[in-house]
Amino acid sequence: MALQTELASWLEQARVKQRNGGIVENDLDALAVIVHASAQTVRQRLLYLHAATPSIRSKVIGMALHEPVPGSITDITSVPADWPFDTVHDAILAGWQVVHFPQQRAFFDDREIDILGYEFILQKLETYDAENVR
Amino acid sequence: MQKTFDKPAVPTEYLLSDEQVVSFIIHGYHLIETDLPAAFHASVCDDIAQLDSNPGDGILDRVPKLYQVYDDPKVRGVLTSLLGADYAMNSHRHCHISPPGFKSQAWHQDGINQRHHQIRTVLAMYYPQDVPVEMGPTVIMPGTHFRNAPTDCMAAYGMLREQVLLTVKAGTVAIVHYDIWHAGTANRTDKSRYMLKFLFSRGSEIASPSWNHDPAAAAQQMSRFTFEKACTCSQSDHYKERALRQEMWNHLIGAPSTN
Repeated sequence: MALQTELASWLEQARVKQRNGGIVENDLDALAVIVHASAQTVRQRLLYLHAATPSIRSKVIGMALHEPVPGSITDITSVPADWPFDTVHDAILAGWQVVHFPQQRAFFDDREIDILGYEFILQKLETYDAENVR
Repeated sequence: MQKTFDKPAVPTEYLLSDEQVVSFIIHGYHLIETDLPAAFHASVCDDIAQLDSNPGDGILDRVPKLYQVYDDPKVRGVLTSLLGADYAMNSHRHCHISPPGFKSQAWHQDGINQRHHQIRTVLAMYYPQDVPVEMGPTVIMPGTHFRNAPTDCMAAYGMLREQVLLTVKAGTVAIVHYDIWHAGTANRTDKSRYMLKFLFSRGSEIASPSWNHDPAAAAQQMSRFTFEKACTCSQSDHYKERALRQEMWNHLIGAPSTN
C-alpha cells in the first residue's frame, strides 16, 4: 500500500511536470529509490530473555537472539563479558518490544523446582534488503 | 547388564571430603584430573579416530584401554564417595564425537527426570584431549540437577549467564549428577572433539557415608545449603532448593527419610 501511495504521488507530480516542460533526470532517480525500497522487507528479530522473576526489573539469567535470516544460528557459546541486558527493562530501553510476558498464575509447587527463570519474548521489526538477504 | 567393580577398597586419600560432597550436592558436578600420562590420552584419541563407525555401547570393547580411566583411583574415589563402594558401570555408554563445524546442541537432561533428590546415577565424562573454548566443550548449568524440567521445556534457552563451560585438560573426567542440564557446544576448530560418556549407578541402599565423613567437619558445611547459590533464581526457588539439598544430604548419610 505504501508503495502504491508513493508511486501515485510520483505520477501525480510527473504529470504536472509533463505539462510544464517534462520530467528530468532527478525525477527518474526518485522513481528508482521508490522501486528499490519495494525490494526491502520488514522482518521480526526475536530475543528470548529469561529473568529471575516475572518483573521486568529482575536480573536476566539467560538469552537467545534469533536473527530473521536463513542459516542464522543461535549457538551456546562462552558468556560475553559485556552481557548485553541486565534486565528486560534494559532491553526495552534499547528498542526491543515485549510480545510475550510470563504467566503470573503459572503452576506452582510448594516443594519441587522446575524450569529456570521466567520467559519474556521481545521483538524488533527491522527492514532488510530482500535482494541481499534471502 | 551392569558391570560391578570387584576392586580392592579405594584408599581413603582418594575419597571426597565433606566439603567436596556438599559442593557436589549444591552444584551437581565434580572435576577430576586423572594421573594417566599424556601419551595414554593421545592413544585413546588415535584409537577412536581409527574406528570406521561409532560403536555406541560397544565402545569399551573396541577401545578396552578405557577401563584404565574408570579404574583410576581418583575416579574410583569419587564414584565410591557418591555411590557407595559397590557402584556399578551401566551397560549404556557413548563416544560423543564433535567434528569440525559441529553446531551446539540444545540444553537437555539425559533420559527422563528421576523424580527423586538422591544420587543414584552419575555421568562420568572423560575427555582424552585438551578442550579449549573453541573446540566445543560440554556446557553444564550448576544446580539444575534439582529441577524437574523435561528437555522440551529447555528448547528456548540459549546462553545461560552462569553456565559453566568444561574447558578441561586432556585426561579430565567430569562426574555430574544424572539430571544436570547440559549440552555440547559448537566446535570451531579443524579437529574432532571426543567425549566418552559412561554411567555409574549405586549398587545398594546407603547404610553409612562412603566418603571421608567427619561429623564435626560436616557440621561446619551445613550452612552452605542455606546460603550458597548454584545459580541466580527466584527467592521461591531458592527456599525450595535449600530443602532439596538437605534431603539429598540426609539420603547420602543414611538418615531416615522425612518424606
